[in-house]
Amino acid sequence: MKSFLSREQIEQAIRTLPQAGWVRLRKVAAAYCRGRPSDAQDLLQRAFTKALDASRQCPTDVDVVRFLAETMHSIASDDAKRRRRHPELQAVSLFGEDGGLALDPPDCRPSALQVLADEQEASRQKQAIIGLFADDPVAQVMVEGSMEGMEGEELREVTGLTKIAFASKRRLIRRRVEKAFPDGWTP
Amino acid sequence: MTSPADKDEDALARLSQALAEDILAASDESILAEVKDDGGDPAAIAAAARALFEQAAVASNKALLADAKAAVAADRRSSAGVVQLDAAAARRRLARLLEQNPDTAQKLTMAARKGKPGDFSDDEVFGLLEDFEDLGISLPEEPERER
Repeated sequence: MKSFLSREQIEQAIRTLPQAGWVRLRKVAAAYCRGRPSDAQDLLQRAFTKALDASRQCPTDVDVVRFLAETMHSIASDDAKRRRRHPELQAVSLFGEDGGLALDPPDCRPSALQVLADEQEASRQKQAIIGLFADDPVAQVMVEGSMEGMEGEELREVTGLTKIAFASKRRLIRRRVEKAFPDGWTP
Repeated sequence: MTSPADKDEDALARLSQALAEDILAASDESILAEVKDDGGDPAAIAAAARALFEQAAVASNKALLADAKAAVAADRRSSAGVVQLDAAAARRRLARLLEQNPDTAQKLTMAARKGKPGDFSDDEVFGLLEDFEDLGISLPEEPERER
């Protein structure tokens, strides 16, 4: 049977993280931060909250930093899904300008212009990241492959790199993206 | 149907995951060295992250306390329900409470425009007991609860 850390255990495990553990969590938060609606700090704090209130439980055999990283991934993924379902929620008055009940309240759905702006933003961000590697075709292939969902060995085979060279290139990619977007994808 | 924007969003999300995996795979030394290379202070970043955790812990503890209070209140209501099973015992308890708390008794019974437990209906007896409980007044010993 799978066992999980208790509230006291998870609190203790997080509180006693080494300095590198805290820094790693902050970096992971920035990697998963997609701008709206939360920035990296907010994302990290929400992950802590979920761990503490046990809405997500850490298995005893999972490293607590990995657990919190996966929790941030889950939160970011849920946020993205929510944005798609409700691109822009706007407060809409049910009362007309004369104070009476409006029988035909304004449409709160995103306008065609808003939808177009969202599409353009995601596309622009994607192209900006790919463009960071215009001088490095192998890295560009790896970035595009990652975006397509290729991972690990499959991606390495496509590039023809050795394991060490592949890991090194992957690190180079991350560092270049981190420097270009220190707080996530927000421009 | 997946829109072009959704495809781009998904692509960015997959890249995010790949980057996060690389962060998790890196050694402690290289993670700290990267921060210094970028002109950052690992100690300050760690302290800020720790502060976020402490804020979350305080908020979580407050929520736990509120849950505990709610559970105690629910338990009290449940206990009051047990007393209500025995109307005669409730009248005895009310008589003792009225006797031991004359000032409060006067206010409550004036509101009810009656004086003695025998003057009250069962519902009024239970209502007055609840009023006493709400005021935090109880008997030193409550033998009826044990029945």
